[in-house]
Amino acid sequence: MSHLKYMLLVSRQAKVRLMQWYTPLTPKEKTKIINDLMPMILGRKSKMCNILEYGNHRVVYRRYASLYFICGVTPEEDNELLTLEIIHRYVESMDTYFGNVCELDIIFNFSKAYDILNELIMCDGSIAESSKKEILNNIKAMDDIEGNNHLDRVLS
Amino acid sequence: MTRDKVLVLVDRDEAHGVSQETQTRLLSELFSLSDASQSIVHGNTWRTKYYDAPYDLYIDTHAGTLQEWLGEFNGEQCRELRDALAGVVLVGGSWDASAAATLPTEDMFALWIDCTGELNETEIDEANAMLSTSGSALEVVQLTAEGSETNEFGEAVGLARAREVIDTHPWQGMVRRDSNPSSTSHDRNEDIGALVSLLNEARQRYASLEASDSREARELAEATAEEISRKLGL
Repeated sequence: MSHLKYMLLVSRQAKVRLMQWYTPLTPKEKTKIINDLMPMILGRKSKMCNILEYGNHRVVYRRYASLYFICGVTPEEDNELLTLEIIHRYVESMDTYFGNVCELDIIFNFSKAYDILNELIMCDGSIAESSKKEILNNIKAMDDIEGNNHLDRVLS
Repeated sequence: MTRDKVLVLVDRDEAHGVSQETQTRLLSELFSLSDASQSIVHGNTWRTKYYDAPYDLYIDTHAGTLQEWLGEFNGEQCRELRDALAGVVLVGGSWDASAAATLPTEDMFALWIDCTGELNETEIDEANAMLSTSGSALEVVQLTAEGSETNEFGEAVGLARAREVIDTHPWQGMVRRDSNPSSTSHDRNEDIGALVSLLNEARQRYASLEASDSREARELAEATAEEISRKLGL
């Protein structure tokens, strides 16, 4: 069972592109985590371990192109390798939806990036759906509803 | 002041500078500039699939050291120029971390295009890691990136990466395009839009018909139904 604490998506130029918090934290605590983790992770060499200790928890990250996907996990509850797989599944889902996803896609469709993440991980940080096919079906259904709303608006 | 100017600074030092051919190639590939002899090019547009951003291109050269140029650039007399810049592209010799540290990168993109070909991907990655951890937005890319178009992380290298950096810059004057990432959804919206237009036209024509003219109304309904069937591929 996985219970993520947070997921951050940070560019190589230290810009936060997406963040989702699964534990209650104050804005100050969130800022501290971001400010601490960004230089810590961006400065790591490519051959270094993708898992590191930070504060009272563990951080698992993986780099895809110019983006770092960073997850905070609880060592007693989470499996770090499973967390890497969750990150990979998220990237795969976005890749299929956007068609070779890039940073620009996430910047201009951040709500869709959040939607895909919300289909994958529940608000308590546990996995909601592991099937990429199901995730994309749900996102397509959302797109269809959105399209129908648009049609209803036009017709009315 | 709108930040819509891009400054390209080319190192023309005789010992380690960039040749005219390299400069022409770079400006052509990165900014689609056909005439590299101009120093100011107005009315350019940076295009991505999501937006268009108008910008002016300023091409400058320096023959002395980069530190000297940066000293001038960081001075009070260049404040107005700095405030108008969307980005700076330094084209030239060997990577100089100390010079790079003095380049102001707030609210602008900054690129160092290394034309020497002396840096390998690992060195470039380490230089960029050092820059990002020190809070600089400057990114080092290599003009002559050979072999694979991506590095071990699947990231574009060379000028393709430079393009990505410029793409992700929040241009102040950008005009968004109506783009949907899901092509099927986009196509579907276009189809629906065409059908709605057709239905609206038919409704307006029906409203203009005389109440007694049932034959014409029936013909209109049939023609509309046929057109809808055709559009839906039925």
